[in-house]
Amino acid sequence: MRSARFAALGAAAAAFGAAAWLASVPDDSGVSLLVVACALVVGIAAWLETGPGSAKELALIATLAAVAAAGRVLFAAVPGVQPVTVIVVAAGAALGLRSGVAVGALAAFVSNLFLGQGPWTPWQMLAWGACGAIGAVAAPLLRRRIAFAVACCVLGFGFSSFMDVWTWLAFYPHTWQALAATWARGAWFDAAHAIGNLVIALAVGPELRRMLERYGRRLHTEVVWA
Amino acid sequence: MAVARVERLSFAYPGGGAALRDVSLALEPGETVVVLGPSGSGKSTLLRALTGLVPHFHGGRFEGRVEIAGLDTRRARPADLAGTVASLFQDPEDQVVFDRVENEVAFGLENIGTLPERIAGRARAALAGAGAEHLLGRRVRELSAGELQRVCLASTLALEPQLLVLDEPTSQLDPLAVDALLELLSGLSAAVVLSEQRPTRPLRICDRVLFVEGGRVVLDARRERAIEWLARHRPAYLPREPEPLRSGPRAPEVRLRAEGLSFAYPGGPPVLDAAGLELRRGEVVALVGPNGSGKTTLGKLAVGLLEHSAGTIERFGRAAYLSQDPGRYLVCERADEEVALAVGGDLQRARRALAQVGLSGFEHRHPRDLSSGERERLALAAVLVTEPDVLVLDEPTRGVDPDRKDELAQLLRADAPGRATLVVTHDLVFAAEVADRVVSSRRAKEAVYA
Amino acid sequence: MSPVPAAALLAALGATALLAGRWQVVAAICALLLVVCLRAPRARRFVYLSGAAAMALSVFLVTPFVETIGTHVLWTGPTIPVVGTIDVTREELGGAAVAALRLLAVALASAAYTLLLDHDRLLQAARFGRRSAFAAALATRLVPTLERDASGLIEALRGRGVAVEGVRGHARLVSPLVGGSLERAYNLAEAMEARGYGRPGATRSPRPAWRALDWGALAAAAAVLTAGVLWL
Repeated sequence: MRSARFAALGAAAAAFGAAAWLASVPDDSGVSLLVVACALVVGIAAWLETGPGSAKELALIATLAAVAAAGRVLFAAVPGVQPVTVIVVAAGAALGLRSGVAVGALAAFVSNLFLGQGPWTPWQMLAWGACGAIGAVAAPLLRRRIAFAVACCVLGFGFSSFMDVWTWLAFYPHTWQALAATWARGAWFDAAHAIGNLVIALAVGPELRRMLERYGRRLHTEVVWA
Repeated sequence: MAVARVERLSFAYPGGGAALRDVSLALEPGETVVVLGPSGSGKSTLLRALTGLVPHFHGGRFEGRVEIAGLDTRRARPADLAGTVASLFQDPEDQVVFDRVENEVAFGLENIGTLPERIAGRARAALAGAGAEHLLGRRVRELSAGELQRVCLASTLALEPQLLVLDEPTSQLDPLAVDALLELLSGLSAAVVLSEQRPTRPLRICDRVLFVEGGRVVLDARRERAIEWLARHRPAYLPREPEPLRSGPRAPEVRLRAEGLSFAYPGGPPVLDAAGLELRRGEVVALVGPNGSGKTTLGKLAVGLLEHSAGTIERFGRAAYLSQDPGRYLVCERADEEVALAVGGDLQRARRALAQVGLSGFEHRHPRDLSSGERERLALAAVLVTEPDVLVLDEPTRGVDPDRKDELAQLLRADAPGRATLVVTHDLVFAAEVADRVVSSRRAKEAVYA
Repeated sequence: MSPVPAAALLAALGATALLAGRWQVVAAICALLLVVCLRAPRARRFVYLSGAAAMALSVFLVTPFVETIGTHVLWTGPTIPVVGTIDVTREELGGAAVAALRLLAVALASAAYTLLLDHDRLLQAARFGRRSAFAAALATRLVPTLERDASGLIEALRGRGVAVEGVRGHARLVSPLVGGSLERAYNLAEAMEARGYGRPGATRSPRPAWRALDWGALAAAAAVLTAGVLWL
């Protein structure tokens, strides 16, 4: 526990330092923002460390992250479509904030093990972690199939934009034309991703959530001694 | 002093009926005990009670007392009992935690607080003890089921437990691997409790037999007396040798003809080389052979799930394939919808297929709520409903108890006249019971007609 | 080399490529990283190297059109409303080339990390965040199994003559895939507890000690980074 708090403090300090650096030298925004992202990821890891650590919870988080990454295989024929966002939002809605964030961040990390790690990894971890958090926070609103699907679609868009903004700040000139060009380049892929999310969420959203809620109830078992 | 003592144990899972009723027994150090009984009888529950997983992991209503090496499971949780009792469950895929073999074996050792400098040595000794030294440094994802089971066994042996609990550990293994595993187990100094659905081999190596039915232990005797009891009361569980096949005329219509088939998985060595097979209407053919000899591959090629790289296949009619893993037939939310998937949603036909496998009344049930035996039947119904002309079943008796195996054999034989059936199995007793012909496949060699 | 110093060195090289002012430094880093990447087996490295090249190329091609700096105009294009007149100047090309090199350096560092670093060892070396590292290792180990489950679902459907078509058809399989994975998770948790997970007093396998090469790599990483920062 102590080391977790230590790590969290270190991460916060790094984040502040980097933010100050960003403000003073905007040209280096690529690196400074990346430092902020990494600091946030370390902070999240420290926060997760302090949560309950039963075998059931850990196995659940790891498995959901893995199935989010492995589910890609189902859509191999259609590039850009993956079930990660839908699974992460459903996990957040069914299992709560901590689990949602953990599944999102871990799913990003694990997917990239097979697709390639890079400076985009912390951004993806933050973006999908945020999807899990939003799923948890907005859970009561996401019970209906259409609401859930729309949320996944919108979050899918937001997720892609996150990445595009960092790429723009790090490598392209800081002009709005460049930003528009970066967005446009990714538009096809982003559209596929968002529409894919919509289709998947419409097909299985509520069932997924119900399944996860049922599992969540089995996490806490009661023994009656006679 | 007894290694384990169970006193008047009664247990019910949350929301369920009694799984164990008033069970009492004592286990002596070093003895090998085989636990037999139909599916759902409480065998697994009893085994889990010996590890503390019942009740701490599963929850429920617990009455009575279980003591392992002096530790009362009311107070000791499964993690506390880990070094004293070690367990091996049915599916090795669901027990392995790390991708590297040495990390996997070290996992348990780390958890029980072994001194760091001793961990590597003990892990290596355990791998040697399980006959898996050559697997050191390998990645778990590349291993076969048999090799994975050995790694899991090594993980348990590394803990040097006093009691080893195994729940159907041989269900994924072929006869050679089963013999090797059972030989290993009989040589251990720990007490071994082993539950099995294929009793023939375990009954040869055990000291004592328990028969669990309806949550009660109806037999607890030494080997010789147990075999007498089984002969009188539960003959299906007796050790059986394969019976000679009935021979008879073969119908003229050919439903499948394959010649010169070659196949290799992408990036792998050839699995089949110039293999051949012929199936005629009305016959049941068993395809037997060790794991890795290409039986499943030949079965999938016969149906058309895989593309052969050389040779010819002629199929006359519809072909259907029943996968080894009934878990792959749990796609829909109702059993009748699941079965009807294959026939475009025709619920009438689905209902008939469910009745054929003995699942009438299960139409509205959620497939995931079914027990493992019921799931197997559901999977069979899902395939039979298409009324195929060529039916290939891949290991249909994995984890199935002897009574159900006989029923399955009868069902397949009754249904045989309209189609050609290929049963891929390494259960030789079942093969002899259900088949007209037995074909053996050896690694990358031609199929040999037996 | 131990994975942590190696990762530190790659990160330092990537960061320096982003921070350095002189383009020669960036080019040198690219060359160095390319040589490192070539140590990976040919089949695997092709995908990552071509991806890196594609990304860098797109920066080089797009940037001159979306920037207006410099005076040596090389080409003038049409005037688009709102955006303005498009032109390409020598300075823009130069700037674009440097930006492309930076992206190439970062992409090559990422490729080197993915191709050459042993992730299991990296996760094992984690000293804090043990639970997250364990979860990551467990998830990594599960992905191939679950991918096989996914293929198995499709195969079982094909074996019954049911064709799985289109995104919607495949999307419906996400639910049983997750359902099956939850059962696996439950069994896995059971096995973990049976092996003592969660017991206080757990120890760790000793890690191989860092050799001179590892310390050297760490020192080099620090040196490269400071040089990059100072040599602005």
